[in-house]
Amino acid sequence: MIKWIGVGFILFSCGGIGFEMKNKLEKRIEALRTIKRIIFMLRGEIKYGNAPLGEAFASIGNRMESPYREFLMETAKEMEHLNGTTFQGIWKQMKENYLKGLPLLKKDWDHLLDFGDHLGYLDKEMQLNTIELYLEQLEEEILSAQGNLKKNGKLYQSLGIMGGILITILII
Amino acid sequence: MTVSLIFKIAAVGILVSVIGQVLKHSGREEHAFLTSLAGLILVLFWIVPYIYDLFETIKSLFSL
Repeated sequence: MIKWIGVGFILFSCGGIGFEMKNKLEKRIEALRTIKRIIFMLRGEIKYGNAPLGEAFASIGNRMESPYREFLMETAKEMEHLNGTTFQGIWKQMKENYLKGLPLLKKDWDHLLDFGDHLGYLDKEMQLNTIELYLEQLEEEILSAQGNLKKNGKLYQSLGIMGGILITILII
Repeated sequence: MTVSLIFKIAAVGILVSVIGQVLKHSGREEHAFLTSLAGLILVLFWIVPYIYDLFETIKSLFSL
C-alpha cells in the first residue's frame, strides 16, 4: 500500500516537473507580451502626449498590474528626487527590486537593461527610435519563444511523465 | 532469476523505445541515442550477474 502511495508521489512529482517546465515557457511569453504592451504605451505617451519620461511611467504604471505597476511608479518617483543618480542607475535598481521574479532569460534582462541605458538620450526622435528598435527585438523574441513552446512544450510534459514511470519501474 | 526481472526488462525496453521515438520526432536524435544507450546499460547491469553465474555453472559442470 505504502509502495503504491510512493509510486503515486514519484509519478506526480516527475509529471509536475514536466508541466512546470512547459509552464515556465508560457510565463516567459506572457511576461514579454506585457513588457511589449508597456513599451507600446510609452511610445504613445511620448509621441502623442509629449510627456516627459517620469510622467509617462507614472501614467502607464496606473494602468498596469503588479509587479510592473510598482516598477514603473517607483521609477517615476525616483526620477523626481533628482539626487544625482542617472536614469540607467534608477532603471537597473528598480528592475532588481521589483522585476526579479519574472521568468525571463538572461538575454531578455540584457535587452531590457540596454533599453534603459539608451532611453532618455538626446531628443524625442531618438527616444522613439530606441523604442521602435526594442519593440522589434521583443517581437522577434516572442516569435522565437512561441516556436520553442510549440516544439518543446508537449515534449517536456510527456518526458516528465515517462521519466516518472521509468523511475517507478526501477524502484519496484 | 525471478519472473519480475523479465517484466522489468520488458517495461524498460518499451519505455526506452517510446522515449526514443518522442525525442526523434522532436529533432533530438542524439538524446534519443543516449536514452537507448542508457536503457541498454541498465538492462546489462541487471543481466550480467546471471550471465556470470551461467558461465560459472558451465565451468563447474564440465570441470573446466
